[in-house]
Amino acid sequence: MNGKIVLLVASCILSIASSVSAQNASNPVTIGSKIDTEGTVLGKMIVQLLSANGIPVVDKVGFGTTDLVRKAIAAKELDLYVEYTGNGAFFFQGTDPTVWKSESKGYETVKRLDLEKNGIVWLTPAPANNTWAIAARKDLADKEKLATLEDFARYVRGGGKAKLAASEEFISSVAALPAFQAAYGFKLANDQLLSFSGGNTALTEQAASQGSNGVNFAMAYGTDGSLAALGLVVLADTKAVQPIYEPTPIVRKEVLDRYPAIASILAGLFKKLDLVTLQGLNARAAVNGESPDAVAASYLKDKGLIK
Amino acid sequence: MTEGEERPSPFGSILAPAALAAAGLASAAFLPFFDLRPNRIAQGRGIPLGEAEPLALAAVAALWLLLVLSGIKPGRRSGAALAVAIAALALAAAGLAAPRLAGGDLVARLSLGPGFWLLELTAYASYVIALRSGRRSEEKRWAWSLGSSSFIILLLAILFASGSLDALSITREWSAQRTVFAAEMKRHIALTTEALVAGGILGAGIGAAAARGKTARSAGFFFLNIFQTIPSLALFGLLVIPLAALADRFPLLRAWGIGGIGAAPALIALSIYAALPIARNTCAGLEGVPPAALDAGRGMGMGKVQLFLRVELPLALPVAVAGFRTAAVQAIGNVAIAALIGAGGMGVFIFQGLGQFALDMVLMGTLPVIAMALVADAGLGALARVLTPRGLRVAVASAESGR
Amino acid sequence: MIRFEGVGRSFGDVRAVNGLDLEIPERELCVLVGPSGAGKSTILRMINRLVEPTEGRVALDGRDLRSIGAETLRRGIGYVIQGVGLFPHLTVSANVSVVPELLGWPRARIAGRSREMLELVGLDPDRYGPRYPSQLSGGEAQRVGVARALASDPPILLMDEPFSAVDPVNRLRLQNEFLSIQRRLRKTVVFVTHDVDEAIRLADRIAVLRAGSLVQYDEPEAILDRPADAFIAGFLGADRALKRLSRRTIRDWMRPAASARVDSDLAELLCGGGQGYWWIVDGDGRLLGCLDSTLAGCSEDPREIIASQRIEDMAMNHDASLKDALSVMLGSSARTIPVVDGAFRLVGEIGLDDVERAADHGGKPK
Repeated sequence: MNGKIVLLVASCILSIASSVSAQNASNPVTIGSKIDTEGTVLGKMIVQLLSANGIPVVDKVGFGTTDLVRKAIAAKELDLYVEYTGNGAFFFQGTDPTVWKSESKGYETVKRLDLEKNGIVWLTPAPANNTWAIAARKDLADKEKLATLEDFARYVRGGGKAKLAASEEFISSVAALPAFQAAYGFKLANDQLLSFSGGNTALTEQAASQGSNGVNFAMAYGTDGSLAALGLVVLADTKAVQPIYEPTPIVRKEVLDRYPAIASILAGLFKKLDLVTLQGLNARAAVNGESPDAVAASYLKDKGLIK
Repeated sequence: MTEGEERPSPFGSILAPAALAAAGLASAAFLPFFDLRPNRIAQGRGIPLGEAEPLALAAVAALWLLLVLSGIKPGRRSGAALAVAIAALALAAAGLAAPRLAGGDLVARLSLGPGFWLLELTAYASYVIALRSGRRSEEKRWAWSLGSSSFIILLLAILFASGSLDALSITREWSAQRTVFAAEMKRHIALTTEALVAGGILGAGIGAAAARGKTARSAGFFFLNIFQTIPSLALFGLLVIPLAALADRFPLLRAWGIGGIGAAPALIALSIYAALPIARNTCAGLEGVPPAALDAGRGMGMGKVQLFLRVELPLALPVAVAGFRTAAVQAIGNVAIAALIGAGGMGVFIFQGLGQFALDMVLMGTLPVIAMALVADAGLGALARVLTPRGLRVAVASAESGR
Repeated sequence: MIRFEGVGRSFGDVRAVNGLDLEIPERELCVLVGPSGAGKSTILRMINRLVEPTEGRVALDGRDLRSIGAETLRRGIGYVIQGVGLFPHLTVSANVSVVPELLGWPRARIAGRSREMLELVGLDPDRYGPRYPSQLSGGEAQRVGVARALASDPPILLMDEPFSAVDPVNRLRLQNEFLSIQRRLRKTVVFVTHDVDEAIRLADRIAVLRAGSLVQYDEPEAILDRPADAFIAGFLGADRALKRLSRRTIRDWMRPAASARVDSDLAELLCGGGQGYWWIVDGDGRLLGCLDSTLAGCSEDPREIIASQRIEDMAMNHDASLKDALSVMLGSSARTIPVVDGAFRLVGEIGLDDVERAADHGGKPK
């Protein structure tokens, strides 16, 4: 009886094995991405650009969360995806926090550590800082003349009506809201906060845009495309409180050794992706609803990177 | 109804339809039928049906009234037809108004609002009540369901083909991602099928073993029940690490496409979930075979195999298929979650849509899942009926009619 | 001929069958009777090897059963059980056809045989053939069970309390009908029951079992006359004498009766001065009534007397048992009752003294 069950389970596993398709043709590069808008657009651009340059690719764009994607590349399920330089602070313990506030230092540190410890190579980053920010309703910002977080601090201290929609993580993480509050000298009371557990910026920005629950400020990411469409503006982080998060393609060393051209091809693309460009691309996908494939293709064609 | 039962009061019998009619009409009249947004993510304004297609609203009101009136006389033949008419009218109104409201502006987004959905829901509920309360036989009800769903599908197809639905936000989402949609749909169906095949083998095996021996039964169901209590996403996550480690040690597995992420952990978890209802029903089916029949069969000189093929299998099969039906509907839903570990499927749109707060993308992922589940349920239900030997169907029928 | 030689069977510590030596002759109906737990069913199931003996051997016509393949053996033995065990997903005729199909008979022969068997058990094949088991009553189902067991014309028939689950009225009918089938077919039947009356009714030979051992094995009359011990006497019941009567048919013990036709001079009978009684019959010989000159006077109208009688209450069918005749006699307080055939024609009469004679030890019919 037990033998029967073991046999059945074994045959199950075998049937699973045989039914999942094998993909071992000519060692293609498996390209993944995080499941958000920017990740998908950048991922599709990489897929299209590399295959236009004759490198065999497998498209696994839109794979999963940061955690999952990171596990995947470590487990060799993925060969390449776009990561953010600032995330090095979470991947590697015991680094000096100030390092991440500098564009060049942060990049160098994470590049060195990832290659040493995981055999992962960080290629050329894009000159866009997709970091945590606070966005304000444009009408309010215009009225109260809010352009930077210093203005925001002044407004809050002066008793202005403020309610911030943000994720749990943003509110409690030492590197986020507390850091802002410490650096700019303001404090938001509990009733001035609307917390989303595991929220992403789409939700918080929607909340501020619709003014639900009296929200007029929202947690945002620097390159979010929907800001203009939702009538929000980012308040500048003049004191550079937040670490710098530049999107960078990272790739497993063996794969890079096999196709060394990847480095220069992708450098040609990423060099040109500044903040405004990224915001525009994200907007086309999120606001206009164009498919990331289409956005990627049209941008690459525009810039003459593919035909 | 048999003699001796009280005649239900005519007013009692229209209470439910009247309530539904009131709710349906109110939704159509007062709730936003459409939601028009200047772009994909900005806030929109609601447009009630009266503003979009006033004639349609009047027609809907008239149909609801007729439906309630038809309920007063016993024999509700027209009730079901009227409900279908209401549902169809709502669809047609949507198709008529959409191009006018948002046809020209490619950035604006027109969604169907709560008014539309509630109207359809109340119409469907009325349809089900009307169909049940009539003295129709099982066969006739099936024919009705088949006929009315075909009609609605045909209507949808016509609206779609004529381009009336193009202005709807959900259609535009689909348009922008056509190839991806097709690919993920294929993957969803493939994953479901594979999970059901593997789960079917596992479940049938455990179920058969359980029917024969007590230890196998407690061990088998214990194993399956434990897994059933683990939420699917958690189970997917739990499988990632051991599978990745396994794939690392045996690169052959990776060559086969088995790794810590993607289809493999999803498939293993999905198969185990599918196995439980199948095992339970296989066991129940086999145990439902009358022991006297088995004794007589053996005593007559039937061998074990013959006994199984000729007696146990035909009697247990319909019950087992019913379990398979449950497993199928479950699997279709579970596969939607598997997108979170990179397995693809309709869940990709659901979660991307959630991430971007683009609810029409979420709908684009959800509606196909619902449709697939309904088709699977109906199809397998029909299969179970077909596989039920006449002798058992007759037994059920005579039990029902109180022979 | 089935022979048990020193057969024993244990289930763990329990000794179900103990040192059984039993020979069941061909073409006889042997009933295994005894209280619950006596091992009757176990012994029966050893014949078709559903149970194997732990000691001794069972032989069929001299061949050890173990030398015959179990399935082959079973296909040559009819098996009827209390729960009937019809296959619910097959029609009645399909159920009956199971064993012939297993044996590979040609289709036409199977179909014909199925009809024949249903008719044999008293079911109209056109009405019952296409029905399903769930549409049958208990009695009908068991008839189908018997038909199914006989379908392949096996020489041996095993029956394990087949009529116990049927209500008493139908049980009697089934027993009678089975008796007539057996009289026709003359199969070797091994029949298990815990009902003594059933055993006495049906058996050519009875094997009384207790706690796994054979206590007495003989013809029913012999056991009724001379029970081997107090246990059997008790088991048979205090009404042993009456039970004996139940095996005797009126036909064998009745005597000729004097009759007169109704269109003859009936008044003459009453006034003729003779002392006696006459059974009055019509032109076809059908019984109409009785005229007793000791009870009725000359002045009375014979036709009125006949009309006021309820002769149906007194008349017995010649196939009925003496026990029933006695019961009627006691009920109608008549010492002599008329005997009729199936068409209610007078065929004789039977009196209390005839019954007493039959009840005598070793009494034989005239």
